[in-house]
Amino acid sequence: MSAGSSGTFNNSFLFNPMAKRKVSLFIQCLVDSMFPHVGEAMVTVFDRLGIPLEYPPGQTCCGQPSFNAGYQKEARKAALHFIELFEDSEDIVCPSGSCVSMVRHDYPELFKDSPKMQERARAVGKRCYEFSEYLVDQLGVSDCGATFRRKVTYHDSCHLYRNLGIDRQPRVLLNNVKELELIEMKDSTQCCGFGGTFSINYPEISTALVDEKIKNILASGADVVCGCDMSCLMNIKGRLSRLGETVEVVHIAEILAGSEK
Amino acid sequence: MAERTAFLKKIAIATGQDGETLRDPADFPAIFASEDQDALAAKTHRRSHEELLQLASLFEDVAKTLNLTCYRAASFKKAQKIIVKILKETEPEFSSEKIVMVHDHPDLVALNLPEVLQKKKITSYSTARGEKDIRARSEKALAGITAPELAMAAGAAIVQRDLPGQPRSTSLLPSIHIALLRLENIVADYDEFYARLGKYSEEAMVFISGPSKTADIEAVLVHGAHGPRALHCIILDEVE
Amino acid sequence: MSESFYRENAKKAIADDKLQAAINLIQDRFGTGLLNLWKEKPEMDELRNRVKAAKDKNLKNLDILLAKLADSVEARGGHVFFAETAEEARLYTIELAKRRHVKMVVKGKSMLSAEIKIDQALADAGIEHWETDLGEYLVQLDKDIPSHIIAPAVHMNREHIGDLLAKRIGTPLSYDPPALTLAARKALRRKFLKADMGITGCNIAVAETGQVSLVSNEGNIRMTGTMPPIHVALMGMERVVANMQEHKDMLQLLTLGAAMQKISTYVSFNGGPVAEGCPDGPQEFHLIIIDNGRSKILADETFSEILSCIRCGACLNVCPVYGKIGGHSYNRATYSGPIGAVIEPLFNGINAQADLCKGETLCGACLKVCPVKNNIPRMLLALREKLAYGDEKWDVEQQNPLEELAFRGVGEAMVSPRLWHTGEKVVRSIMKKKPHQNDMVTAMSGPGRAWTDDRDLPPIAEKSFARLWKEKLQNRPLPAEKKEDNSGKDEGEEK
Repeated sequence: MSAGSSGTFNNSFLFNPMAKRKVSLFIQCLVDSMFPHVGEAMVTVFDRLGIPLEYPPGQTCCGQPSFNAGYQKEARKAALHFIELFEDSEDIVCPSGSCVSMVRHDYPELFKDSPKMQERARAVGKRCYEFSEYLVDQLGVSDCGATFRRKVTYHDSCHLYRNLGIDRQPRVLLNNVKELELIEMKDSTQCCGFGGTFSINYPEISTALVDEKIKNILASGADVVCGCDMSCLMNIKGRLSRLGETVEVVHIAEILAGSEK
Repeated sequence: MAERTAFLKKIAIATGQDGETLRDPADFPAIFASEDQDALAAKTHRRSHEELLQLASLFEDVAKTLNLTCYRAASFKKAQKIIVKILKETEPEFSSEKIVMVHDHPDLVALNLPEVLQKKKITSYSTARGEKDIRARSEKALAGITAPELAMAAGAAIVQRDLPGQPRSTSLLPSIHIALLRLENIVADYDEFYARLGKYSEEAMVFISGPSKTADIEAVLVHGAHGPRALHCIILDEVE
Repeated sequence: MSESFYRENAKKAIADDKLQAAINLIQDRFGTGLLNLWKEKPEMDELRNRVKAAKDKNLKNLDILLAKLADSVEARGGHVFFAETAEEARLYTIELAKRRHVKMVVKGKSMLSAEIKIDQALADAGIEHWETDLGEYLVQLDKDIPSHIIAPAVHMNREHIGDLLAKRIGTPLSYDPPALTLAARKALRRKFLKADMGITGCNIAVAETGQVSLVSNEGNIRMTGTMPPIHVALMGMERVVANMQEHKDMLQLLTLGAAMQKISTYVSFNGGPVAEGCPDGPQEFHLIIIDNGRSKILADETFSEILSCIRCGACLNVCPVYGKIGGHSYNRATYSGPIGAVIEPLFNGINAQADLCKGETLCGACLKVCPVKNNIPRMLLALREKLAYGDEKWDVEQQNPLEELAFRGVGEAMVSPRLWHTGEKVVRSIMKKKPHQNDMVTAMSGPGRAWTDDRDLPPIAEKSFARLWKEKLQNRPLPAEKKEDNSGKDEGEEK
């Protein structure tokens, strides 16, 4: 752990008025229950950058699984719960692109029949950011002061890449991690085949897709695959494990927290 | 007519109208309005020789990617020689004899092909009005020769209009197609091309940008699917 | 039942290495190619938006455009028939063919002709009919159906094609694409010259000039519309543009979308019998404008956007699911891939085509590549909503009441954190009892089994983040406030 003490990161955030804003952690349900260490890693990174944090209690799920399966009434209820929980937050930051896409783009659609609710949804959506996006675009951070002595390849998650347009930000952050070698895999933006309930309803197609992804990961020669969305990473990790492959799967926050392994 | 009315009323209702009375296109000119193309068309007529040569180069560059063979000819005589050479080197596909179909166009008449080709044992037929057996001859033909009056450099595309004396099949049935294109008939891009089409667009016509091709078997590109297997374009820049 | 059909076909396709390689090739070349083109040439965005806006305007004024188109075609001596249903279109065609004693029909590649099932009608009427697009011809000889909008025979390899042509039309056995193409060229030329009627589709109709415009690379569509004495053009009612300027824009998107071409080899414009004094071309021209379920889509603002589709097939070339399962897996429907997943359910029943609605990951690649930016993922979600709850307007029965119950239960938990975390605990204890390897669960039961059949599942952590926050993180010691030296050395590049 060399980071955090040098105070010489190549960042401009210290001069950014945004830095004074408080961040509300929006912890994706999968991270909450299965990968809490990813949330802890986010806390470490924000602490190191001196960003004040809060964690609004009572968080559950943004409603995306229901939404994608067509259960919009249930998704709407979850959305209302989320909006009420985060309405007073300043900036809302989440370690998952697809959840942010849900809040930012799909919540307003869910309330298209109620202008007042739609306005509330939009207001919350505007303040909701994905982790790497928030660091780079809002805080002006490019170097989190981390070290990671590994060859890493990056998977562009679908909603993160296509719905939020985030592909540069995670790469900026990874490229500034000391001793990290970033290797691009073929078709990094191709879907990993997770797709929520799709992976349960159509497992053979889902597996064929994740195998394609894994083929490209292995061909890259990297020994770590990293991304900004634990749902895709869980899918990749689950299949790698079944295949007995040793490539490690980590969330970008884990790398940026500098937890050198 | 009854079926037309019922059909259109259903659409009218689908688009939120009451469907009682049908809207008359004449009452909605704005739906068909397009920008005036005359200025753009006029601009293409005022090009310098230098500019036209640049367009010809662009046409040739694009043509290369489409397997369309280009030539430059500084005179009718030169164009005639190129044609003879192509015909001499091409084996007939649909008949044992070498038959050439030639559109009725002043530039092609000026090539004086029947006389020259006869010496090489190649029979040329005009497709002019009144000529007989055009279809039967075209079916056997080695080559069809046309003189397109408009071409687009950006797509290496030529236009063939449906005109008396200039049948569609001349660029379709024969084994190969040869086009004699005047340099000044080349325009730059889609915008200029359509601006110049003007009234043509009311006629039957076809844009042609290379020989017939297919990639339906394992994505392997093969030329000569159903139309001509080669397209030769002779750009005539009459300087001599 | 239909679910197993979809999944069984998908499994077969996934196991077919040659099919996988063939689809990979066109996806890499055209799909990735087009995505890169949109990225490298942002100025194309203007063209795409312009075409979408024109499509939007034209759909809102479709009654006017079609009236104008029909008037223009009729003024030139062409016949126009408006067919509300596939059956009306078939009847018109067959009656015309009988009246004119048509013995043989050649067909230019037309998806709509497959949609209205004209082949069976021709066969029933005893009329010989031949597909003339090479891929379609091969598929016809093989008594199969196309598996891609633009590359109908992508599922056939050269060995299969060589054997097929040798067996069916007696060509010398060869596996060489040029030799095979030449064999088809010869065989089909005879048919073009002999046919009594040509049937084509319509890529773009121009209302103002009364022209049907068709694109092709092979020349088969020109042949079909030129050589036989009768030309019948089948047109989906939404294929119309107002004028040549709109045609210019749409043509570019169509040929780019279909095969990354600046322009196709042939772009023909026809709208009537051959003009006075012209020596060849059809003596009769019939335009059949077909609804067949489109006006119902037009009337529903959730789905009307899909009528902007230009049928370029680009969405098939980027879809990861299509890339794995191929065109035939889509319940052997006329339209496959993402576009098929939306219009087939709308045409043929949402319940019957439920797998098409649900069998995608919603990755959004189709939306990115679509030249007219049709939001297919949004429409798939709308279809799923109808399956989830049932829908009267589209006559949809709720697909799975038990599933709704489950989602309702989870929905309750989503608004009750206590219930939510209780659920977490329950799942944790269930998972604990399951077999493990390397800290991963290897075999679940119930719905989770579909996951662990092929993948391991990470366990529920001992302590959730919420609990960690409460127990330690919220009271964590913060790093000492650092007094930064702001004299300038830290000014980053972002400044």
